Amino acid sequence: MTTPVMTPYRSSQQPGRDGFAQLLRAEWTKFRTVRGWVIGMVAAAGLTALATVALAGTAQNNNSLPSVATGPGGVAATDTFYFVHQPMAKDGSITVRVTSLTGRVSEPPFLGGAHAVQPWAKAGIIIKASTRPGSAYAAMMITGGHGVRMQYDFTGDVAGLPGTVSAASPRWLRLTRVGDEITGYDSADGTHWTKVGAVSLTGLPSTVQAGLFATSPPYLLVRQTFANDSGVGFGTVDRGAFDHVSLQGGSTGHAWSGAAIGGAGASGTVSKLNCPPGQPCAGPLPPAGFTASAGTFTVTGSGDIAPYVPIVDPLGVTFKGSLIGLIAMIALGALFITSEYRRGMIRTTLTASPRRGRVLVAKAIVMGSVTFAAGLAGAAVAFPIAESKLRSNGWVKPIYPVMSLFSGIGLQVVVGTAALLAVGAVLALAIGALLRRSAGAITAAIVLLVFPLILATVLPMTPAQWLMRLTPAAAFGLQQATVRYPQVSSGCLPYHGCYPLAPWYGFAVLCAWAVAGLGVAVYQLRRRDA
Amino acid sequence: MEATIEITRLHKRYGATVALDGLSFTVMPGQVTGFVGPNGAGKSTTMRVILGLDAADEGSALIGGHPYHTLRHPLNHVGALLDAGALQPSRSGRNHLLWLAHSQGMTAGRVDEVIEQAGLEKAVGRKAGGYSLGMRQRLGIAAAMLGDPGVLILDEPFNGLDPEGIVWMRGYLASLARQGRAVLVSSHLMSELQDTADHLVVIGRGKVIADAAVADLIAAASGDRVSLRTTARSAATAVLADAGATVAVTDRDTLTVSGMAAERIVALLAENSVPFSEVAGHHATLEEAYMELTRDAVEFRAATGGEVTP
Amino acid sequence: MSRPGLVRWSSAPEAARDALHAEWTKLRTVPSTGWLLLSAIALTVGVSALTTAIVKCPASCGADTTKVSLTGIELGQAAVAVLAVLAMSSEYSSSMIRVTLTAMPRRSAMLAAKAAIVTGVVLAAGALAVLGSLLAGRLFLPGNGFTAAHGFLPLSLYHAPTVRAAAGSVLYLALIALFSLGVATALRDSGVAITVVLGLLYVLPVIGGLILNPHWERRFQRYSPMNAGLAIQATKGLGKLPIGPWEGLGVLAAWALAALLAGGLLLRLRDA
Repeated sequence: MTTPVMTPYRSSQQPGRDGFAQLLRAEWTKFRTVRGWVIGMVAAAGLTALATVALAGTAQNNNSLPSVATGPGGVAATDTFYFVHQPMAKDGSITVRVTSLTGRVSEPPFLGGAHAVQPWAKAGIIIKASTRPGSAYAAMMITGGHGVRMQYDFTGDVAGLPGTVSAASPRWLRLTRVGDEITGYDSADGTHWTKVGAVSLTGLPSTVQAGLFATSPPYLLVRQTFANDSGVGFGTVDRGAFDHVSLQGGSTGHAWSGAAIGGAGASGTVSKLNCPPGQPCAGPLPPAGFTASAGTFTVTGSGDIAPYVPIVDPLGVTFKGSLIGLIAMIALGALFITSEYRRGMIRTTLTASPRRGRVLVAKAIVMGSVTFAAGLAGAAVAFPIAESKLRSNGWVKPIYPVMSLFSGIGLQVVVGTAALLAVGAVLALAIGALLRRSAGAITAAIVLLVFPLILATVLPMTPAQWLMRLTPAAAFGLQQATVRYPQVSSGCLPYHGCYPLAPWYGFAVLCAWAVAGLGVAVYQLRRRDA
Repeated sequence: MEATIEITRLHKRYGATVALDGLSFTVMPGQVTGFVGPNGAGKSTTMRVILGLDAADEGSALIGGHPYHTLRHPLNHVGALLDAGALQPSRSGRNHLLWLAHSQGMTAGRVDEVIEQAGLEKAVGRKAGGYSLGMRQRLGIAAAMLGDPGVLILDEPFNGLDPEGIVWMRGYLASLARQGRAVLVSSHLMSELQDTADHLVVIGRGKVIADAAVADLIAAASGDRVSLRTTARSAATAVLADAGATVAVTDRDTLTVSGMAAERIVALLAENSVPFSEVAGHHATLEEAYMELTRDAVEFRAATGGEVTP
Repeated sequence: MSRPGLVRWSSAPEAARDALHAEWTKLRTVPSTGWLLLSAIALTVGVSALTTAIVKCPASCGADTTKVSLTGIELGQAAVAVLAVLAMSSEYSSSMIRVTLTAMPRRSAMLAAKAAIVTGVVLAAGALAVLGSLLAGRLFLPGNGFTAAHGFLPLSLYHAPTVRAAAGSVLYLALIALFSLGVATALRDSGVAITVVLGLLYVLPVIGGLILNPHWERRFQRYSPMNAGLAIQATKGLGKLPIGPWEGLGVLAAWALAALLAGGLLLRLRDA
């Protein structure tokens, strides 16, 4: 029997760095020392790249590209409207009062007269470099559903006075040119003017075309039900009524002349169903044109002055190849914690680091960083190959502009894909910490992230879009490579790679899910016996 | 910090099952404290509560006066081996120790030291999934020793060790205690504890049954019994019983006599010409001491619980 | 030397019956079985009810009401897959497979017995899930405009294509279970197996639906297990389907058979 030595024992090990860094290091060591996980992560990155490249390789653009105008800066644009114009030399201004805006829609089924004026039907004044479609412009307009706007060079859009226009509540619009700068004003009474916006149109010639315009985009009826989706555009026209037209700086001796810019207007017939109440309008759609009498102009037009937004988003669709990498990373994220529960090793972990919340956060950071790095590598390798394959498969500019890996949307798609994979894996980790079982956790994470994409293809459009707003799948919007403009109505189907939320908002939805999951998991981990 | 474990009135229930029922004891530095009790007595639960893995409903478990979860580098104070199988099978033994070292801010150098101490040099490069139970125990000991802690908590460390390993473990635990550490070892192998433990805490149904030095327990269990080897069993029984001793038959030619010193027995037998070949003071084993204690515990339970012992 | 009286030579049918009995006892005595079957039913009926409640005619008058009512199968199959994967992989995670193979050394017979029992419980739960879904469709669809005025009759089991879709959906779930069981037998680890199963079920259709190439899109729809298998639910526009209802279910059956054969072969060849 030994005699107890009563001097207190002193550990020979001096405490190392305290804090979170050592926890991160321990979790990183845990991850990198299981060969299967490292191989799995590399394979996930490789599969992401391979599947993306394969999807780009098969993506054939068999449809003939619609003829679009190329606007300033190379933007693909629709530039079709009826223009009542005369030349304006150098500086000057144009002012007008708009007293009504009415519209007609050809034959869409199930549509009442109330929808006859398209929300983005436009009538107003415009100063345009020339009558060539795609040339630079700035315009003040009244719209069917979005009040007064100042728009310029297709992508620019500034809101002015709200509300619709009528004889009782007219809108006054004014554009002034000083040098290259064009300023837009609006007013409800013609005396009190408000500046809506100013824009500098570089390279504007000294003589420009100024005048009145009217245009109305097709009515898009998207029917999407149960794998039978179809978007049908119906011709529309609108008619704006103007008076108090005054042009300063116009060369004397010029009369107003009318021109259908960018081709013919809409054709089709209007049935009684689609007539505004009390107006006899059945028959063919009225042709584009204008009338002028006693200072009052009516301009009828069809088309749009707006950026052209293609329905299909080939690059965004191609990057859905990362789904294969995603499910592998979901599995790794879940296994990173559930394997500890399965072997009882969680007790060793919690004995070494009794502050449990920090353990889980360290795990999440390590998992998130590793998946982000792997995903970024996979996506960055795939991007240039996929880009060039898409080009050679017929997806060409100006509708499908060339993208760079290092800036703008290209960068967003690549970094976004990596971020999506990383936060997806963290969400799986959180679910794994909650359920403690790998099969259940992996299933739950895949159902949350991938199943909404399946359900969205079979649901009608509105619930499908809600699904893409509320579920973690909203983050797939990060892979959207087509710019969507609020001033263009287009059928936005998840099926075509279009998401209702702006890309980083969609990502925020996924992050919110992951943070909430981690929060509940930390709470449970601290509350429950290990 | 004092290398002690103080357990005070721990209560813990899992649903309807009472696991710990007001458990109190103290583990002192400089000695090996054996922690024994029947299966389900609450040994593992107690160890998990000490390590902050399970939360007690009432009471406290302190390491040197501090709750475990407040320790900054816990492995520098407490080393624990709960379940030798708690390993990721596809990770090598060395890498298992490495992540654990990193969690305490320690370096790979320390990992190699403990590997050598545990005699694991040959196995550590292999995947832990392929280890024998004995190798896992050694790896668990190495993990517990990483921080060179003053307190060691080991759940059944002798499990799965070969005889050579058992000898090694015994010596190792004793040397750790001699260095001034508090060593708490649970085991069901009483014979191992007899040679290793200095102090014994016996629990049953979540309560402490005995908390005493091993030497005292054995002395108490041995009592003043004397074993007597004789061919004349009935004659000897008659003589000794007449003189006031209690005599019990243990074997064909062996009697156990209590209530009488050995010298007096020899004198009486010689006086009455009863032949005998051997008279020896009886030395209880730890096993016997333990059985006696837990038998009492069973009776105690029966009395309070209203159960009838068969 | 064994005494003859203690050796019980069982005939082949008896051995099969014993194996079935053993696997049934194993499956029913794990609490997760009940919960997973319950969630399979709840998820199927829940999603079906939700879908039938939000789809409206005239906006979606082109819909195939029977198929709409059975939408929930697409989610319910996840619970079925987990059940079938765990039926095998849990034996490996707990090393119980050694006990099982000691008691039933004929490994293929053991796998067959397990497959039969899993199929049995999935068929039973699947029937409840499908009936619940159709009931939801019958309750909600007429209120959403799917009325005689638009050419819709209430869902009914007197309508032969609906019966085919309903029975086929139950079979679909059973085949998903067999497929999952086969994959789990081949891969052994529950996490890896469920990832592979759900990857094939969910990711293939998404990628197939996005592929911008009609030729490849059609291939994906014809040969991916979920797209092909769910063709059995169609009751309208059969001529336009990429694959016929029974042919589609046959494709899924081929997937299940291939997985089971691979699993069975590996089970025989590998050390347990």
